[in-house]
Amino acid sequence: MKWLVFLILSSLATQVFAQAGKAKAATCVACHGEAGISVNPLWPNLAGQKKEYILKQMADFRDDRRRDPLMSPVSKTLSDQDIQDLAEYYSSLK
Amino acid sequence: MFTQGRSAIFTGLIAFSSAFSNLVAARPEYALRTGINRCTACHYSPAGGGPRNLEGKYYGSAGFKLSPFSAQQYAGAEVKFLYYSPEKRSEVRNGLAAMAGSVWAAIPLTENERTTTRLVGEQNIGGFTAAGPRHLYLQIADRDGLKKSWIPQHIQFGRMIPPFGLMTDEHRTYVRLQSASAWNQNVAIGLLLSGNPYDSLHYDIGAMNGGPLNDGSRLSAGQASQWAYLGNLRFQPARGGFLFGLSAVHYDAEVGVAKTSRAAQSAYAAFSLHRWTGGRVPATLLAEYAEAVNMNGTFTNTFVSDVTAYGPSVASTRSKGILGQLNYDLTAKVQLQYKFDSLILDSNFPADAYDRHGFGVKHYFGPNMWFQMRYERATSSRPGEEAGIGAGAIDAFWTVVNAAI
Repeated sequence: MKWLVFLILSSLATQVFAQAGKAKAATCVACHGEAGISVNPLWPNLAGQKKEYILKQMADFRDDRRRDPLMSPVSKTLSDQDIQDLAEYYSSLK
Repeated sequence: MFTQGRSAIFTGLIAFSSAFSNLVAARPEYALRTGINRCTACHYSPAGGGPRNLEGKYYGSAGFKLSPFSAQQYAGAEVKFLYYSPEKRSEVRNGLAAMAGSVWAAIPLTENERTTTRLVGEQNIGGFTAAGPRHLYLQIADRDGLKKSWIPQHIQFGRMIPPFGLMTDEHRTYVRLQSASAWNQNVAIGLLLSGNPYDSLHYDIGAMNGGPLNDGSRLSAGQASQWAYLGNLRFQPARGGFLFGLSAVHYDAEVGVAKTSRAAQSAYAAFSLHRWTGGRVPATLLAEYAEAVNMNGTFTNTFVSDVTAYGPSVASTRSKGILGQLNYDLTAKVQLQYKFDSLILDSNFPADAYDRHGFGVKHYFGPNMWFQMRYERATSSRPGEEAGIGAGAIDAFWTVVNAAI
């Protein structure tokens, strides 16, 4: 029973994070597409990308471990929670 | 369409539409939303505006897919069409016309680990502005697009649009008119140094030679040119959702002309309601205040109705202009706009003012293609302009269609 409650709560939490991520993704859609599918070859698709990968890349951009003239400034505006929400959102898209 | 029989209309539109004729310019609302404080993220010039790099082309495509021909960063073209319909039907400036057209190329010359040297050229091919080079400069650019240093990261020499005030594709404003900074043929050829000592702080300083005379006429071959010195400082903290900037340009006195030198200053700001509300209010507020002295050759042209006495008299006075604009993104491709601008031609006579309210929409309908429609309600408190005689006091509807590759 405890496991069932845990699974339900986890699922709900994921959906809440994903919804929060959708609201925060308004800036991202200009390059990565409204559904996380980029129409241009310079920028990657994010829909269905592994959550851990998105988490690492965005944190790396923000903390200057990875540098890019577009992504570095954008990610500077994000908190840990923002990154978590965005990763949940894009990884939940198919 | 324009015909031979409507040459007077065409001539009028040429004079009137300088304020329309600029091509691609940076859009500070995007810079604010993304926190990017470097115009070179999308444009070749660190001053913003003009030819765009590949990232800029893709970003400007508004989510539409670029054609293989456009999807390169070495060449491009742009064209603008204008339909202008003043409420005063006897106004000679009306109709549909090709407003501006240009082709451009950005040619890399040398490249090493630290810098890229390139030649950037943009040629006007038609429209209201006479054919000729709009940009033609040699640029040395630091390849690290994120370097933080007081040492310039971009050095460019040649003909270019210098930074002054809010660099947007919104040209029909009094602050652009009074400071002659929309089409910027006032400062033509020179040296520009730009850099970011911090991510949040950007500077441009330059010295340029050439430009129109105080009476608005252009320099011709053999005439002495003026030197102009300009500076621009922009502060935009990554998490702030706002930017604030100061610009100034000062000209040497004209050779052989008994007038004081020309100058203009601008304080400008932009606020991202989108950022402040977590995306719930997808809007951006733009604001600018500009002063100019001896820069008002355009006023003697068609802006005021009295071009024989009042126009020339205000050409050497200090003018004050205000711009406020609210852009609301209804969708990713449709933007509602409200614009207010106000102008006092002579700061000694503040009652002689022009005010204009504009309501409109901008729609992106293809990759780097958009149209913009606006109705503008203009009023003037200057005696003689109540009937909407001068161009600055005429209610009007206009549409601009822009396409770029």
